[in-house]
Amino acid sequence: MDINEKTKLRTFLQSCLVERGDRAEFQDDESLFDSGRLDSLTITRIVVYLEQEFGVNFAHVNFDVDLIDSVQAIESLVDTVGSH
Amino acid sequence: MKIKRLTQFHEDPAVIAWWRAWMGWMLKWLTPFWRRSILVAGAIYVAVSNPLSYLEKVLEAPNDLLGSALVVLTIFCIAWLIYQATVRFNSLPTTIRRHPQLTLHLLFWGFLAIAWNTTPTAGPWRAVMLGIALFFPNLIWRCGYMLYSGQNGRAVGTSFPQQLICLFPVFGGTHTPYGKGLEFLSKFEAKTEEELARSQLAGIKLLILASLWHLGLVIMEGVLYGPGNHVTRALGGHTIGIPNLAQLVTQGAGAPRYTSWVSIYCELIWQVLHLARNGHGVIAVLRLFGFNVFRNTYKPLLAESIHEFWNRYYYYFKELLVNFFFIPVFMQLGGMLRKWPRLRLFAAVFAAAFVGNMYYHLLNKKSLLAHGDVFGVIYSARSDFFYAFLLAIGIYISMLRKERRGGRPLSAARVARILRIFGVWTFFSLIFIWNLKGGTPFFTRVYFFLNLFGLA
Repeated sequence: MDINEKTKLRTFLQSCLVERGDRAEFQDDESLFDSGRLDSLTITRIVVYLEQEFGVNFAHVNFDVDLIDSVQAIESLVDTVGSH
Repeated sequence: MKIKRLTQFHEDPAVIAWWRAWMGWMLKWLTPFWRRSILVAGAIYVAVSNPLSYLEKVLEAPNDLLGSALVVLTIFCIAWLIYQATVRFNSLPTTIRRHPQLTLHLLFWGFLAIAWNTTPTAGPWRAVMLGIALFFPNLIWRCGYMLYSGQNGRAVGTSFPQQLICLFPVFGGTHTPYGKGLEFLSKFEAKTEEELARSQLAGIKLLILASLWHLGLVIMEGVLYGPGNHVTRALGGHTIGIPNLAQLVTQGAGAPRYTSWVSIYCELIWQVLHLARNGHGVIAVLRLFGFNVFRNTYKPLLAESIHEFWNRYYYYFKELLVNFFFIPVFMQLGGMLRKWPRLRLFAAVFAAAFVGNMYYHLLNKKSLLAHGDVFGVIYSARSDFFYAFLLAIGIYISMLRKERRGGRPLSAARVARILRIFGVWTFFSLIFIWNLKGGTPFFTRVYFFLNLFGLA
């Protein structure tokens, strides 16, 4: 994931947080789901985003929320299974 | 600011420091080893006593000492076998590794089919099978979470006694595993004395809230509903006298309209307070032991959308449906329905809120299920089916609207917020008509609903 893609990802995640009334900053290694800042129904938005932007095919991934729990985790997921 | 400081006392450094100074000896003693040991001891007690209490309710199940001991022992063996499958997940056959949850449920249904095909004269083993059929639905979702941790490679290194903490929770709960499984609990376990103090204070806060909601329920019962309790007596026997919804619904189209409208909103508040009180009690115990997990109920009456209410009303049940139905379906359909995202969302929401919800309630009808009365199960669940269907429609539309907004927050204007909250209240108040316990026939509920709008 290059720097532009990462910035775009962070903006997208920020919009998910804002939608839940959470305007606080977040670090790359900060938990988003386990901390309760995002809820499990937001998973769909993030999954669709990763499928569209990075070509991640979740049908072939043994999905677990930890895979998308932080910016770092998403980076690692995209670098491992993304097609871009 | 002062109010916020008061309500968030568990996060106040001064309060935490005071608690550490006052309870220092206990915080030092309640290490992960000891807290888990206490919970394991409690789990063993529950594992023995709960199946026995289930058996007492059904005459055909063994009620002699040997029969009961066999049921308890067999349930332990089943739990141990599933634990072995969990820790050796990678050496399981490929089909099971791909579909561990499906395998678990198919095995249970296979077991039920065998039990159904035995005759009452089949001897003591039939009674033992009935006992297991009655108790296992209580365990199946907990075993599901255990297998889930094995699937994600996080069960290696856990011991069977530790898994018992969540399989037979002494901290309480329903068929829904509060606090999910051991893996989830471990994520939130206090590692330092300060974290333990914080967790315990959060637990105390929940106990205070549970007491307040209990008081709220008593006042509601005394002031709103008749014939009343000691609150009514304290008020000189005066009560508003609103019939509770279960009573009104039985009158179908004959129920007084305006009273019915008041009653459906009162029922919503009652249900929320009831669930919050019970859930807070369970989560409070977990927090006192140092597992600072999320609440089961978090201000659902302030939710501004249907899916937000659902998220906040019964968190661990929603998580169960999301983990075992919503996510698997949503992910699997990614390849097939990528170009039809709304259809994909629709399928996943229905898999969870309708199919999963119904399946969960079907498994709860243990006695009918154990005796193979499938028609009886379906017949008795007609209203539940309809409730789940309406719920699924509501959640889908709500999620779709959220998607269409594309991340834009909702209007913060006070009137707009109140209207949204009122809309959510009305939706859930209306669909609760079909979620009420009791044997009111399905169509009587339909007539009651139509009568609310003057259509019956």
